[in-house]
Amino acid sequence: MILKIAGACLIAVLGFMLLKKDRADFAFVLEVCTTAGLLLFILPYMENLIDLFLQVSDTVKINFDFSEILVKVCGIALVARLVCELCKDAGEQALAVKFELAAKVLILINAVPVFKALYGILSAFVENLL
Amino acid sequence: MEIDVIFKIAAVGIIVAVLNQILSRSGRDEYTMITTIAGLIIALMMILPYVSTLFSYIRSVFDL
Repeated sequence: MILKIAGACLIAVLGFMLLKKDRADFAFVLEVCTTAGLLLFILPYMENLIDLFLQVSDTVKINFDFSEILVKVCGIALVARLVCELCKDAGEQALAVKFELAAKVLILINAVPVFKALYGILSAFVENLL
Repeated sequence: MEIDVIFKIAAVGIIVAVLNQILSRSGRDEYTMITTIAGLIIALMMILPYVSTLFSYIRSVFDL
C-alpha cells in the first residue's frame, strides 16, 4: 500500500522536474492533482479513525461533548495545511501566511463553546474560593 | 487511480512546451501564449473533478 503511494509520489516529482523549468503553471496543476489524489486515497482510512474516535468519545460521556468540535477543527486544519503548503510551493509566501491566519481565526471561531465552558468552570472555581 | 491523471497532465505540459518551442522557432511567437492558455485550461479541466470530489469528501468526513 505504502509502496503504491511512494511510487505515485516519485512519478509526480519526476513530472514536476520535467515541467518546472519552462512550464511552471503545469507543475502547479500537477502538484494540485497529486495532492488531491493522495488525500483522496488516504481519506477513507481517516474516516474510519474518526468514526472510532467518535464512538470512543460517545462511550466516555464526560459532561462536555467537544468531539464534534475537535473533528471539525481537524478538518479545517487539514484543508488549511493543504492549501497553505501549495501556496508556499508556488512561491506565494504572503498568500500562504494570510491563508494560515484565516484558518486560525476560523478554528478559534469554532472553538468558542470550549472557551465558554472553560470560562464557566473558572468563574465557578473562583467563586468557590472567595 | 490518480496515476493516469498525473501522466496525462505531465503529457499535456510537455506537449505545450514542445509546441511553444516549435512556434517560437518558426517565428510565430504570438501563438505561444494561446497554446499555453489552452493547455492550461485542458489540464485544469482534467483535475477539476478530483479536487471537487476531494473537497466534498472532506466536507462529509469532517462535517464542516
